[in-house]
Amino acid sequence: MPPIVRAPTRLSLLGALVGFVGCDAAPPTPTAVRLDRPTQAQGAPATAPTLDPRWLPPSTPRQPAPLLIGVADGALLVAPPGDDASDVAWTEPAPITAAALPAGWSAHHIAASHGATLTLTVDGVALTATAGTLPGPAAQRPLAESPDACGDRRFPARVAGGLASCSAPGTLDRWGATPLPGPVRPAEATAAGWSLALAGAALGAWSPVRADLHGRQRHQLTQHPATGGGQIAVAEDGRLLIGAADSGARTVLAADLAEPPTVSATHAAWIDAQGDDHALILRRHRPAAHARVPGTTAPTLPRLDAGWLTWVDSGRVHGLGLRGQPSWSVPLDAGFTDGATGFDDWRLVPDRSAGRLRAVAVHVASGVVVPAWDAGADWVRLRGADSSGITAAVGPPGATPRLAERVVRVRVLEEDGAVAEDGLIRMVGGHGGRHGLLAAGQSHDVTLPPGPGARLSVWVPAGSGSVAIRRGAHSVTVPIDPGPPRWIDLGDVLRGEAVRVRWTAGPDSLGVDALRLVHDE
Amino acid sequence: MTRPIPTVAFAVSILATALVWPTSGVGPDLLLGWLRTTGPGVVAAALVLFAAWGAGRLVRGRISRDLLADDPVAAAFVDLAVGLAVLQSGAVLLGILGLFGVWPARALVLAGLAAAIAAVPDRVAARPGWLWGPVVFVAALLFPTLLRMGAPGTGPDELQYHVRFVRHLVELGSFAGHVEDPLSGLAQGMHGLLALAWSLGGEPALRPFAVGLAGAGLWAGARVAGRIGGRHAALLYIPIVLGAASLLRFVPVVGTDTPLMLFLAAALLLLLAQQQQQHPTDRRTALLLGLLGGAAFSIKYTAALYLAPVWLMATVLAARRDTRTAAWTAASALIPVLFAAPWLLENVRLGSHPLFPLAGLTVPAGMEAAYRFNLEENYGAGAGLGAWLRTPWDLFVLGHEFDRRHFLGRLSPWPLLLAPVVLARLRDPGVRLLAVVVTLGLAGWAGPLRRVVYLLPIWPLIAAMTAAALAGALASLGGERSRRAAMVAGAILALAAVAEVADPWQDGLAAAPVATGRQSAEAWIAERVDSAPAWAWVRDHVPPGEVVTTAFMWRLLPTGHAQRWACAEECTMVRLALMEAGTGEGARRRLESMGSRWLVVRAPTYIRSGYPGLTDEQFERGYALPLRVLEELTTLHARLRFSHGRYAVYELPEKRLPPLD
Repeated sequence: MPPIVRAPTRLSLLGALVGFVGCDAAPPTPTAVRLDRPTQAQGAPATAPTLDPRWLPPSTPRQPAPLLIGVADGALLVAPPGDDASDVAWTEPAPITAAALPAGWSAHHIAASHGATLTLTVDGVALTATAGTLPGPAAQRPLAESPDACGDRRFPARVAGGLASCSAPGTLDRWGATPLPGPVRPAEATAAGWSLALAGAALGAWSPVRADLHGRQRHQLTQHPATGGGQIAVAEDGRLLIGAADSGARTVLAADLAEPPTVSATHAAWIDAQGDDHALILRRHRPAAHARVPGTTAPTLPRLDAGWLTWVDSGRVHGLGLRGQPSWSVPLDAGFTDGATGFDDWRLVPDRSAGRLRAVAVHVASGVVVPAWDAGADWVRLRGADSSGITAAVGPPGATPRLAERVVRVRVLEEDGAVAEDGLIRMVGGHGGRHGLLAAGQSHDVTLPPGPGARLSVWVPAGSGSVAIRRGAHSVTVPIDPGPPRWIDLGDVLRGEAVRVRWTAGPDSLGVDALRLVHDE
Repeated sequence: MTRPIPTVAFAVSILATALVWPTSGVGPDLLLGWLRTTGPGVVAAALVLFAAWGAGRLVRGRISRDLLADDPVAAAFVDLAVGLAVLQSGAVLLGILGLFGVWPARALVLAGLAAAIAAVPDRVAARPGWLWGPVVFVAALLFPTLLRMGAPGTGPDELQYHVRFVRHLVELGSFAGHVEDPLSGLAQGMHGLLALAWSLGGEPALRPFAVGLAGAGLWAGARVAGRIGGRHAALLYIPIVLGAASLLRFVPVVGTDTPLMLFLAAALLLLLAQQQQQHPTDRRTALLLGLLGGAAFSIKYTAALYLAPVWLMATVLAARRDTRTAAWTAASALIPVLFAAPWLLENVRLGSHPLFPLAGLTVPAGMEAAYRFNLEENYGAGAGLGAWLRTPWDLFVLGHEFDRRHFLGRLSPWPLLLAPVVLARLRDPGVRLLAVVVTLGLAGWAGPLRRVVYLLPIWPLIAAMTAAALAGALASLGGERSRRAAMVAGAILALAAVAEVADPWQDGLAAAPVATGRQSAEAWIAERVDSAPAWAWVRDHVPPGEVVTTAFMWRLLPTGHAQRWACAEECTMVRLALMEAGTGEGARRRLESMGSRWLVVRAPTYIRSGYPGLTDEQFERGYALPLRVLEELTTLHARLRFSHGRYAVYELPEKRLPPLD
């Protein structure tokens, strides 16, 4: 792939990531902004755990302070002025115009306090936005699948915008109507956002567009497998195997895992049971090193999301920035059951502080906690999430629940956010002048993972050339003429359809920026 | 060659085995593996059975030396059954005193062995040559049993209490018993016997011992048929009795149903001996009946349904002598109560129902229907006279394995198809005797039991009755025609038997790797027991000394912890305890009062339409509310520590977390 010429303005998530692994990238400028925490995040933050500084690379603390707004049929996350928190995953690009924007805010930077309501216009469509929410009941729809179809409390589960499910209890063998590479037991699989970790007859990650599977050796699993960022982690008796999902090479570590591990492109983490003492271990892939996270007493439910390690300990959720960001800790009655999931830089966890089971979302970059799914008298048991939505089994306690999903109607894929952690999108640049630039004649491909049906458009910030969209054997090329920044419509994307988008620069350069999916109702 | 027929038959059996063995996927080279892996357990089981025979012969000789003097084979079965009653009594006594252990148990077995060895020279008798043919057939049909008895027990009842309680007896020296473990309130005579086998060969001896007992019962049934209808009846009996899929399925499983076959068949042999020798039942026979009935009753209470008709007929036969003997015979029916007395009294001491703790649960008024131990109307065509009347057809003709509409099992259609022949042969006293016992037993079964496995105790008697009647009918053809007809009938029955048992036969071969040592017992259990990962987690992570409570768990694996609330069928006690708790908080307090912080849960599913006999309120309070309380308990008051499929392990915090700031 030809090199992408980056606009040298701000550092993206990729840049920060590169900085962590040792390249010469300057950390972002620190910004002191007071967090406007929702009510769930009351109380003084506990002392943040830190890793041994001998192997944690030094970094400059930064306090990203995003504020959250959601729209009735989507969710948006925006950053305040002055903050170049460019690794925020969900930032609605222009043109968003608001009826009453606070002074000093651009169209990209909309301020709102938690609970405030704004009226926005996106592409001429008026949207009501409420700060501090994720896809709400308005975006909810029931699913026909039985929540007990697999005889497993974790499946059917949301993967890549669809449901990984079973034709018979104990036989996980399909994603929607698409057959999986081979039937596995639900215990041998884990739904992980845009891919499915499989450790049955084959080992690796499967997604509707790509199967990074290797080998036919059956593993004697002691915990559910994990995948993320093209890596897979498999726990066996007394050892943990970590390696690239599409490779047979594995690093084998001595470990007695008390819970399923978590893995990303750069790190892995797990709870090591050392007698009565449970230790949270964090491992860095390159250069290889691992250490116990100090300051933990009874850690549980570790998860790696968007450059953060989060876990639950002693009635609090803790976040450890893997690029040196300041850590945070918020009180939350979580960590008592499974069902924790997440997407982008959100971590979703079950919460029981209200005397019932609901789901809350923790913004891992800030520790901001917002309600994610509260169904009142009904209890919510999370069944997976990805950046296209959340799936849960909903119903009163003691009764057979029903599966439902809340979809994100407007979804903007830009730079390294969203699905970059799964290695499915290798897009650089971004909106707000931070887009990538293709030199004349160069091209750049992006594959969109299948999801709900959507209308696809591309943000063209500058330049000319063409954008080709390929669905299966069919390809459509849309010419791009020089002009002002604008959205260009690329047509419909069907549910479950994998799409490849190719930017090709014309005689001049071509700006590569965001793709937007507006999902069907 | 002085005995050509047995020699040829033996050669045929070797050939058959040579054909069966490799095609089963086991391979001839693994015979040594089977001998090494399964063999020791088989030897241990055989030693206990041999010791029982020796002890029984000694005791029976003291009671009635001349009994069955004309029929050493039948006498051997009676001796074996009596000896088992004796050994069982010894084991139970040791257990009650808290003195059971490997060495006391071995001493008990050794005493029986000494008696057996002393008696062997008297019992070496020439075997009839014609026996070899049936032996080949039986060996081929029961071949998977050789493999399955080499596999660790994974059946629900095995793991729920049989193996668990035997382990408890061997390791702790006394019988399991706790008010929060209601299954321990059942009589545990069988567990005493199994513990003797365990003391010699460990857990691997349990299934071979169960197979040995079942084999003896089946063989004794052949003798019952033979005594009534002669050699042809015994031969016809074999394909009828073995051509039952559920029998093949349950024979290698440790349980309390198939062992009853021996005791009931031995009791019938006693009655037949009295009847055929024109000796009315005397006190000695009544005493022996009492021992046999006692052993059976303390193995399983439902044996009473089948023992009652036996006693009825014994009393009728005794009445031919005099009223006093009849009264004596009737009174001997109390002996079984003595055998079960230890458990009856213990239940009373614990404040439970004497027979079965679950029967004495205090259920809210109006909720009785929702808190029954077993909804027997769910088995077969349902409740009511119509369903009851069509039971024979549903049972024998439509019977289907794993189909609760057909009693969760399959026997064979011959008893019903040949019922007219039986009716025609009722003039034969032996057939008549069997017909009364079988008919009353079937009627008793059709009431509260209604599962094929619970009928297995009298299945040999049903088959013997059918075979004897058929043989008698064929014998009326006279001479050579009779013999040829019997051969044709035998061939047809044999072919039908092979077809009937094809499924369990094939399934049984799956045990080949573990029975021959190619697969570890742990791996076998992990494959077969879906809750095994949860139990492994408990074993590895729950501190010693903790009490582990289960909810809706049928299969419990050993973890070294005290286990509570194991349940079966409708899990009545668990549901009732949760309903009484009312809320998750109440359930938490209940567990705390039991000293339990750990909970292993199977997520149950109760569908409203599955309980048509309940009102909405009964279903709500009987099934929905307990599940709601359980979910509140596990979600709001506990912490999930492990989950796998439907199973999860929860920990209740020792101290509740402080309120959130």
